[in-house]
Amino acid sequence: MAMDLLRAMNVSASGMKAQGTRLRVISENIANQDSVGTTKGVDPYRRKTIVFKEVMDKAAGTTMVHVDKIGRDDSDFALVYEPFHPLADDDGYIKRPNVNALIEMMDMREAQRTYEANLTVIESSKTMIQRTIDLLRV
Amino acid sequence: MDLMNLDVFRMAKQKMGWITERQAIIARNIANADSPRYRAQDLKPINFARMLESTPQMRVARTASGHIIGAAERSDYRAIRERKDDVYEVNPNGNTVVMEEQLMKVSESSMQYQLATNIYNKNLSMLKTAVGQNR
Repeated sequence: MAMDLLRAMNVSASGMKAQGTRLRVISENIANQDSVGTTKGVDPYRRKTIVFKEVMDKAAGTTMVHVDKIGRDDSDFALVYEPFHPLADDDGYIKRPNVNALIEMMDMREAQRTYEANLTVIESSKTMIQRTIDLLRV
Repeated sequence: MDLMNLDVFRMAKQKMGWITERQAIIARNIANADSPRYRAQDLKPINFARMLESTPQMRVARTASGHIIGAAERSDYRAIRERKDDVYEVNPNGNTVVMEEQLMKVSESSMQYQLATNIYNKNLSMLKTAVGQNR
């Protein structure tokens, strides 16, 4: 019986780990939101995306959350008119990363919220285990 | 004396078993709150009236080392996938976990568990009173 509670804690921990990876990807995006190409004609930083997946863990006897893949966002780069920029093309335009700070912030909030929810489940499971142990004290 | 012969203890134990199993399922739902196409699950409510009549499950004994034990650990309860019409909203990526619903279930489990342990405790102290050792 207590096995189930430990299992619940393990699943929650895997969820927290996945959200941690997501936060890493988000911070990479935010840190690189001004990274243009190194030389003329080279593409700027392309935004990264992350997808989760439910994976069966035979040892734990339940399904865990894993990172499915860290992909690339194929949306168009923003073209900004900066004729005096050293990397500007003949028309005076420069390609900037397809990172939208607002989207990243919202993503960050969501990751934080899910992380906290997982933490709540761990705490609740822990309390339940504690209550079971307290039955011995009667 | 086996306490499990008493219905109250047996029911409290069964309730605790059901809640812990449900807790594992809720934990899975919440951990998968952002997994595309994941569908939220829940445990079928237990029917205490039927449970009192049912006979305990028996397992096949392992008498030689070469024997394979049947299904490793079969659950007595049934997990059901929540239907799309029953959930409050479905994410565009096909995920049906609604965080508020799940967190409500977590706190409900927690309270029900406390109820079960309290029932167990109170009955035990009642028995002790009857035995005369309630100091």
